[in-house]
Amino acid sequence: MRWLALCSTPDAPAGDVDALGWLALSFTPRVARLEEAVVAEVSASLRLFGGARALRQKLQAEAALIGLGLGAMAWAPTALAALALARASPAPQHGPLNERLDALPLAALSAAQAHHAMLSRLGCTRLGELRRLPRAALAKRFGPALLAALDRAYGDLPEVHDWLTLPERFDARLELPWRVEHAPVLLHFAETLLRQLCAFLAARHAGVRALRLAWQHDAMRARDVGGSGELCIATADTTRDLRRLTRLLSEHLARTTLAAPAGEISLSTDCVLPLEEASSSLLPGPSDPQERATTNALLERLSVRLGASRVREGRLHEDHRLARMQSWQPWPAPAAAAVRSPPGPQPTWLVEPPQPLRCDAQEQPVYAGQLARISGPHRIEAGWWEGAGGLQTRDYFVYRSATRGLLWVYHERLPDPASAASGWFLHGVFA
Amino acid sequence: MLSATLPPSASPPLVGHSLLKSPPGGPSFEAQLQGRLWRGSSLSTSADPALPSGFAALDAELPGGGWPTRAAIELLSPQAGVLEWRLLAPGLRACWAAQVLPSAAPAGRRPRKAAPGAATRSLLLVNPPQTPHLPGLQALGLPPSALIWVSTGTPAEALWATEQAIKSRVAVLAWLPEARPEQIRRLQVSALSSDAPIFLMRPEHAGQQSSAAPLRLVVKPGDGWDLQVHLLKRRGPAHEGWLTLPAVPGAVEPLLTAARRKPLPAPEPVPSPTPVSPPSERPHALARPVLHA
Repeated sequence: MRWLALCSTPDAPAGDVDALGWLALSFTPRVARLEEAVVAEVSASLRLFGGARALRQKLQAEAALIGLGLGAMAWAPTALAALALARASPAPQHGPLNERLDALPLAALSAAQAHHAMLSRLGCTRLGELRRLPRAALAKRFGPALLAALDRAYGDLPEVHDWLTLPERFDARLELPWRVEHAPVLLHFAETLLRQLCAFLAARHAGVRALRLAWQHDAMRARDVGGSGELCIATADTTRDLRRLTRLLSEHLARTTLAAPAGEISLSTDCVLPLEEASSSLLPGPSDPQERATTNALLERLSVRLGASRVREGRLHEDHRLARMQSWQPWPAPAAAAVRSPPGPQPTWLVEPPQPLRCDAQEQPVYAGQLARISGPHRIEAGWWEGAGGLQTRDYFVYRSATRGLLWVYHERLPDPASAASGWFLHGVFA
Repeated sequence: MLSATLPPSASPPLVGHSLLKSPPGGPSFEAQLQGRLWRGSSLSTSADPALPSGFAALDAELPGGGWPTRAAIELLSPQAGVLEWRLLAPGLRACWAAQVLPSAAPAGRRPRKAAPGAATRSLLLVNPPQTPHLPGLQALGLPPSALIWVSTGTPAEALWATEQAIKSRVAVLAWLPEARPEQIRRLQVSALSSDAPIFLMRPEHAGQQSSAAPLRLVVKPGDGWDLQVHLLKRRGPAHEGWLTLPAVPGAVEPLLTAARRKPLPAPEPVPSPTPVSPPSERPHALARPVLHA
């Protein structure tokens, strides 16, 4: 039996110990909460992870990745001994368990700590001295619990544990220490929950695509304000990257106003998706999933800060009309079928809406000076099925301007008789 | 061998030593020092890969033989939205074509789940002057799925979006008509860690300001179908004169008859374009080519 006791850092929030337990579950199924720490029995996993030292380093790296503070750690053949050694660290690393435990102060074992005052009056300060006292008298004086704990720590009695199991879905609550009036302040507390979420996802080897952060307004609120509010955030691909989720949440919270002070927040996710672990590749390539994830994270942040309609992705359509060949949709746009490329030359910039041009005496368009015709006409006549508004009857020409480059200019074949415009329009630029 | 025993970090007085010019044998001394020693009279060579621009004449003048990475590249042109794609598309097309190939090649061991378009890197267009027209860009060789159009409300947002993209190592084409030198410096500092091409489009009068970008080009439409390019700043000797790059817009090329390929005489009433101004940054004495007496 190899037990590993994991303590979180002293200043860590209470929820972090749960997160630590979930994180340990990704290394071994035998994880239990023991008082303020997490103990994990890893003898079956040591070979898989390449030994005790490699496992400990991997655990530390994982904890650092999801932002969990990892405090003292200790190895021992029993769970209570591991906890005692972790509490009393720096503890002697080597030697038989009995000798290492004998040297520990009474505070390392909670059952002994409870009778600390009486024991110190007896002259007992170390576990070894406590163990040398007559057992029958000890049981009579302090009850059987102390003796049982002592025996379990030294491995003389078997231990019984409630193994930690993962909940089916993640739903964590956090009561705020004070009323929070500004949404960005919530981020600090939400980070604690996000760390738990990432540990939960690490144990399930999964990721999320959608999260819901909800907050409960406290009782001191205006009459017309509801009891709670919530914020849904979505990512473009499955992730459990704490940094990415935190940045995305902070962008969302920066644009949120709380209707009333919040007293409690909760983070939940309904759908947990399997996450394909990124394997490091020998050759850095474009299909590097890491790079795709950073791009997605960037675009998520841009679309939250600038507005979804300002970060756009284009989709092609099969149409002869220039304005209908493509549509720019908010990123991420749904996938579209492949289309055939349209006939004729296509400009690279589209002037939207088409800019009316003046014409000279020869009925030729003028735009920043005279234009020279290069090619044309390319006749487009389509859209009659959409009624009068959709019908386009146009002759397109390529014109060249000395200063404005090559222009895609069209002439309405059936100009609106009511308008005084020349019928010439600038619709694109071959830049 | 004497040259091999010299320390790699040669002190400046050593540069003019006759040993450097004619090594007695073996690899030249400068070859050993590549990347660490840069003479002002020669183009700098860096270890970072450069993107071929697609124009041989331009590649010959660019340090590293192409568009540098880990650097912000400034393109100054009199009018935005007139010639960007003509200049940049050949290089960008090669860059994206190289990306698509490797993902298509290793189909041997297991089929990839990702869609073929999903494997490409993105190209962010920040604040373009007009609506990008995807069919035209696709004809130039840029995959439509790679292009992301970011339109911003204020110049500050455009700068923020550009900086975020550079920090995420995503290729960017940003039109920044109002950027100030300190803002460009900030973008350049971010660009040092990015291996994607970064192009900043600025108006021509920005050439009068100083800039931290290590490569600055002035680009103008030429007389015929070509582009006039002057390198305002580069890691190397000052560039004099103008490069003429043949750049017919790809979409129009099939339409051109032989007669029309010739430079068209500008229509008479049009005032000739403003005379080519001499490069406004005077080359520093140290940056001029060394003339051997």
